[in-house]
Amino acid sequence: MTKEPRMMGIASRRKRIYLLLACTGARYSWIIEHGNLQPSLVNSQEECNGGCNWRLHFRPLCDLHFGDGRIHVSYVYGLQQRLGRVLEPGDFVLAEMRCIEQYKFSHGDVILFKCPSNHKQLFVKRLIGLPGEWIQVPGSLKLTKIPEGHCWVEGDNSARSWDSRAFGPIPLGLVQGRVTHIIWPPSRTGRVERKIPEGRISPD
Amino acid sequence: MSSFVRRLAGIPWRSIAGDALSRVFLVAQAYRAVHVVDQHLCSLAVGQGPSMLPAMNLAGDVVAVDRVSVRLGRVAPDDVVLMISPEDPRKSIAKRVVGMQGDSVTYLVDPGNSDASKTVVVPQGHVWVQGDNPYASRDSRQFGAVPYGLITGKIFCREADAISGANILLYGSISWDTSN
Repeated sequence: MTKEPRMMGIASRRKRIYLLLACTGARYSWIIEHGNLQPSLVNSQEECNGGCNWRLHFRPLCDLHFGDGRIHVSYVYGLQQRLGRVLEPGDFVLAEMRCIEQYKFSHGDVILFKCPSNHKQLFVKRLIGLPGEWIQVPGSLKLTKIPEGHCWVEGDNSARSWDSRAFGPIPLGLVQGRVTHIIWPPSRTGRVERKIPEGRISPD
Repeated sequence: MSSFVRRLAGIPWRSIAGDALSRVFLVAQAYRAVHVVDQHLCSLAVGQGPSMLPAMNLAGDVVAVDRVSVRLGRVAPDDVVLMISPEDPRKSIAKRVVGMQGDSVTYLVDPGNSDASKTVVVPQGHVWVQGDNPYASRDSRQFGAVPYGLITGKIFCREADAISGANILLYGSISWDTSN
């Protein structure tokens, strides 16, 4: 009597799922620098061109694809606190990338974007102004119009944030995702809320 | 009724389900492999528009796009690159790199009407791109130096008049560009 061919067992099916997820590719290095943050600060000062002493680094941990939507898990490190109490160095955050397909953002979204002067760095800031709007640059009475295809980003911790006030509006093509949740540490797990800035923008 | 239920019970559901699942995984893995290659290694794109004449046709050029060199930072002047348009992030445009960061670029402001030229220094982390056809191209002369992060690929191969139907790979990842 011939033996029936074995069905694929549960264990090997799980292995194939993991392989499927893993081979979607880690776009960036999987190695996270633990512990001493000083070396990364030194690097940033060398690369940073004049005028900035502090900035927040983001090293994406991995890039998982689920169907067509994408999720991005990133580790926040760096000496500067971008968002006072909202994000601290050492957090793991989840960023979704569906918003990139249509480039539809709302005011107050926390977004990940490539630094305009160094494409290897990712920053996380809050989106303040959308294309076509007029924004008042803090510290001056000027109104600047945000050009088509660009946006204005600012950190919540405005005293120590290197953002659009330094490098101007950024092209939307540099945006890599929108931060939706903090997933580590457990004491601060939860949604990252949209905070709509008041009195900063006028639509025309 | 009970004979129907008995027939139902006799069908080997578990092996059918196992079979179906493994085939679905195979298709999903194949799709993922193609997608990863397309996004991170090499891709095909279709270009149209007058801004890169004579290097690229008005319509119907299939070009091969290399994504690895961009990630490694190996973009140099005289390369034709594919990038996200700074004026509309949903569009991709193909232009030639004229200057890298720190270079001083001199360009004709309005070649159709006057001989006036301007010189700019390309800021850190940016590139200056221009279309080969300066009379019909929106490029850095209009929207300024472009951050390197917007570049998605380097065009290294062109097949002219390739849009004749059957000879294009139809795996659904070909992007339509406008080279304006």
